[in-house]
Amino acid sequence: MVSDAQIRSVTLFFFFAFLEESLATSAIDRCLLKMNQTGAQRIVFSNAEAETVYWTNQIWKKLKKKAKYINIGLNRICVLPKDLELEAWRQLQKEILPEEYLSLIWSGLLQFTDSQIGEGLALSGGTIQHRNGIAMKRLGQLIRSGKANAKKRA
Amino acid sequence: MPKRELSCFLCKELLYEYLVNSVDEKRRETINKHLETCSSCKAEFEALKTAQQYLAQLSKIEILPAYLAKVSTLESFSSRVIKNAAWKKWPDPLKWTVESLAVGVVIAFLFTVVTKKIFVHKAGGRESFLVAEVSQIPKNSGDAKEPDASKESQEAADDEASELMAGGAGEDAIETAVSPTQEPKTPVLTEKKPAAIASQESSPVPPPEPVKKVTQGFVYRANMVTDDLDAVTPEVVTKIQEMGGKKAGEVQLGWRQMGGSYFHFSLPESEYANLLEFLKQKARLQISKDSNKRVMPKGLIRIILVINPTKHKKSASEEETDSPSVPVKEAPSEAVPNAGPPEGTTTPPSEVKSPPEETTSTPVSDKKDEGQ
Repeated sequence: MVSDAQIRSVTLFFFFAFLEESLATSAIDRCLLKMNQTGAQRIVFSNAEAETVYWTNQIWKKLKKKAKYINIGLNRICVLPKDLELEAWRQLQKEILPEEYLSLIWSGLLQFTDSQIGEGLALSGGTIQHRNGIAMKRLGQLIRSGKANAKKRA
Repeated sequence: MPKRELSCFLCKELLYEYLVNSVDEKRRETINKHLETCSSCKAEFEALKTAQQYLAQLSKIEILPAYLAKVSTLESFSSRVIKNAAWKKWPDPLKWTVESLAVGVVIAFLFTVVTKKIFVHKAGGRESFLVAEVSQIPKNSGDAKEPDASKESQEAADDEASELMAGGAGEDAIETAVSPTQEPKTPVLTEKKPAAIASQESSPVPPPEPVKKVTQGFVYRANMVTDDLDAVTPEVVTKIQEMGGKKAGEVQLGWRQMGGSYFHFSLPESEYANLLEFLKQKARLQISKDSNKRVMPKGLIRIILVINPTKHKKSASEEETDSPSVPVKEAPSEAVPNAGPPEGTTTPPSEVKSPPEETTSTPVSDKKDEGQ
């Protein structure tokens, strides 16, 4: 049975992965159905986070070609904090590899540990750290350059 | 051993681990010291911290409860379709109609598939069905010709000739333009009744037998040289006709061509010996039996006879150029008066005996008057 925390994690993941309401909803439905299946089809993990990482990754692979990343209908899904823009995040998705920003979603947004992410993806913790480092470095540069541009405009 | 200082490259690689506190104490101190002195590494570290703060803010996003409740109800696509269709709310007659249509479609599909398999099985596994059986109308033998024969002229469609040999018209058309030594090209592939049984033509003719492509026939090739061609030719014609021989193609018996007389005829096999006797009495005879694609009906043989005047004597090799000769073994013991080599053998040009003043000539009429 899928817990509320897993539902929230899955929702956040696809929200930030696709930035599009209809596609995110479809992906969330599929992912939760897969996670809720029982019997021989169910894959067993040591923790719920690893299971979440595994199934979100699987569903993302199937739907990634449909993603348009144009921020449609996000206000029907969530409430964004004030003074927070998604421009830097959208730009980050264009500049780095998908594996890197997905890793950043799991570790930075969902607060999963490197070992949990590694178990879900069948990778080592070092690989996850390496991907996170690259993504965060670039995200920081984009944020700083955005602020710098905002200051210049001001 | 002097301590090596931490390079900028290595420092930048370790910054993320330094940020999340996953480096050991010694390395942490080293990085701290480096960051105090290196501005570029420090700027990069600040960028990492900015990104970390940004992500922390993002993680505080609140998902709308209504949306959470919506995605929490785990429904598959099919169940959602059924739910939206509201099947249970449909009126009963409409439900029964839809159900009966669905059942009818399934039954029709099964019936089509199952019956098709039965028919295919009964047809020996072939996916074909017997639509109608067309009976073969018995035709006169004159009509049962090969497709090639249909192209020949009207004269070749003579009933008497077509009874004997099918496909003979094809050969007739060829003979008009070709020397008699050349082989007719269209083979006889079907067997026909001989002319003597023509009276039985009124009865239904059985369908032709299947085409036999492998069977090999033969033809007798005879060559005679005579002093008096004009007298011998009609005698030979008469004799052949008396024996029941008939022309095998368009040209008549004794057709005059290139200074000689040409005979292409079929003969009952029983009369072969008599004919040989007769011909030997008239002139020197050379005869050979050659293989040929054309197969004659049972009891009939085919003979190509060329009679040339003495001054236009041909060598045997000039006449029999097309096909290999097979020595005739049927009448080996007969001695031909005034004949050099025994019958049935192809005489090489050197063995042909001729008076020294006579010149060998080709069928071309240019040398016809040389010896005179």
